[in-house]
Amino acid sequence: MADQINLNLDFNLIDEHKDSFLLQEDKLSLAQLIPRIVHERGPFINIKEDDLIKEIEQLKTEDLETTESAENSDEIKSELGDSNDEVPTSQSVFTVNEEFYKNKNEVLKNIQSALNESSLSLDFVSLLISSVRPAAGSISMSAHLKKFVAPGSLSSDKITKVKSRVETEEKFKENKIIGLGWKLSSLENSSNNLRNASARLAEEVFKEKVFWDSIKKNFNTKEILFKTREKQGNKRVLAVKYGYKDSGSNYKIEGNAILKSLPNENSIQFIPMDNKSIMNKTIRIRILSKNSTTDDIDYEIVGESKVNSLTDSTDIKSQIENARYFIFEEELFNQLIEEAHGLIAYNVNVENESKLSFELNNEIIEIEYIELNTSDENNDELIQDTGRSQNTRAELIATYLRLMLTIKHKTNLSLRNQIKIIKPASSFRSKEIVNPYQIILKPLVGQFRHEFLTSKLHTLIKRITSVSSKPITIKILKFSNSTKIQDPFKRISNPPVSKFKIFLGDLKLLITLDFFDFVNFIIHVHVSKNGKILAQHSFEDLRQLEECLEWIIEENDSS
Amino acid sequence: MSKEEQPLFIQERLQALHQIDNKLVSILSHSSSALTNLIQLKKSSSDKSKQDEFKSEFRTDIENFYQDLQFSSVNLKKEIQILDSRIGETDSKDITILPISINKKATFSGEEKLKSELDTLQKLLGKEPEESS
Repeated sequence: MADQINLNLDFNLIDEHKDSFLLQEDKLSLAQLIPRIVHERGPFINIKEDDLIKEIEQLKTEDLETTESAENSDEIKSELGDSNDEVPTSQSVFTVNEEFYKNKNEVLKNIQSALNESSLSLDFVSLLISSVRPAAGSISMSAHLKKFVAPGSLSSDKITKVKSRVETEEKFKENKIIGLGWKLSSLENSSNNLRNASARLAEEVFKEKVFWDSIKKNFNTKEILFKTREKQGNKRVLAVKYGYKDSGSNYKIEGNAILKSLPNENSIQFIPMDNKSIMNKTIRIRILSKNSTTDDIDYEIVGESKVNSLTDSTDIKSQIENARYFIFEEELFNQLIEEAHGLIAYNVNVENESKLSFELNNEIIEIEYIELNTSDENNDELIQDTGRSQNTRAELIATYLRLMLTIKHKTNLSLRNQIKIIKPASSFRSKEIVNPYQIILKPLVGQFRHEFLTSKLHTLIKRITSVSSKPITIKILKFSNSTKIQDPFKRISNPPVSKFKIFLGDLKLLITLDFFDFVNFIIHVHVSKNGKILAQHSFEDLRQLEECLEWIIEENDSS
Repeated sequence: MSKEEQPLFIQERLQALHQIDNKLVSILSHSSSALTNLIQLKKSSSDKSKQDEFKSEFRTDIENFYQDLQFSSVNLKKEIQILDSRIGETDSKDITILPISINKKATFSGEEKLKSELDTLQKLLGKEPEESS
């Protein structure tokens, strides 16, 4: 190949040539002019009139300077004759222009020759292709070529080198060796893959064994395990039921947890399925007593229920036990708060979201829902310090609350198991209200109120009857409505009724204190003499009762 | 039946299944080692004594492979059979495997709680009987 290809410009091959890029500046339309100005000077925002005036003036002065210098310094011109760019003179301007046009023509020529060359090669390739794919070839062919040369007239072929027998054999051998190599390396690869797979699976099997061993050891037939799928990854896993849902709890947290083997440790993890993590909180009862020694209202803690300390939670069994304990406490406290909202009128206060209290005549019973980790040590110390007198009572209250929740669960469960008969909606609702074991706090508050009111009534009766001259006998029948009920849960769930039987000579007074809905009471008074009913009335106020009794005794004395 | 553990029957099944798992894994490792020996065998075609050595190794590998395969397939079938025959029957420990899976309920937890709370109550009352309500 020659280093240089001399191509003659054949203008007939190309369409009539015209340099469209060289525009006459004077003839530019506004649409062309504006982009050009923007291109040269940036956006119009930056162009100021003052600047433009200044610039024009500067140009003018420069022009003047150049003309002046051109006129004045002929010597300099002759000195700097070679470097026309530096100090352009009228003559040098001319030569610069000449140079420019020369260069421009050169460039144009080169461009044209490149264009020519590329179209020639395109034509060549098109002609070559046209023999194989006529359509594709003739599209890119120039009109000129099409006119003079028939498409498909140029063709090419591959020329195979003729090999000798020995050569082919050698080639064959080489191919065979390469094939064998491939096979060998593939075998190696597969062997490695198998080994890796077996190692990985061995690990997996070991993990499985650890998992099942711990299940084997830690779970008896009592604990319910069931198959489920992970929320993320949809992997099959075993889960355990730690909550009380199946025992009758209707609490929002079902209490299921996934058992998952940890990747590195030889133990299984306990992950509650409900998004909420288990709170290590428990219920504590405190009894505060009004301090009578000082004038201010001052309360002193006289009783506090024990707070179970947390068992070591590394073991899966104790983890489940803990979770079971805490979910129970959580539900219990929620239930208590719920009930407390309805009992605000009866001295029950919800102080904050983890504390509620109710006031009796001179003591306050606080029910707190406390974090276990932080306060158990302090509690122990406090109990030891004071040796509070009413600790057992607080403990009993706590036990009562817990027991009532289990009974609630139990009744729920038996209700669930009953064959459901479709009843009218109204009767169904009334049953819901009647069902006694749904409430926990209310009976307790009711019992306290009842106790308090009974003693108050007793003192009242004693005071009033003491003025009487007739012989007096007072008989108190506490819980007269529920003494025959054996089931203690039924007894507590029955609104308490107490009776006072007063004999004043012949006069027989029967006062019945009835807490019909645990917190509100009504007092029936029944007066009779020798089997004859003298008066019968109901009161809702102690004051009215007092007046009535005073009147009866007065009348009786005077008769 | 130990109180804290799964019944013996389940423990035995878990053990057997674990064994099968192990065998299945060793099938893979044996096949891998057989392949390695095959490669070595082909590579050392010039050395006669070495070749014999590799051959015998290859043989044992293949033997092990088949043994494990046999063991796992036979034992898996056995396990399935055991499970099949146990379904619907009650063994000496009163455990019955039902033919269908039912959702067992964890009803015991409420009972247990009740019992434990009653125990605490008993203890408390034992100390101070006058606190009875």
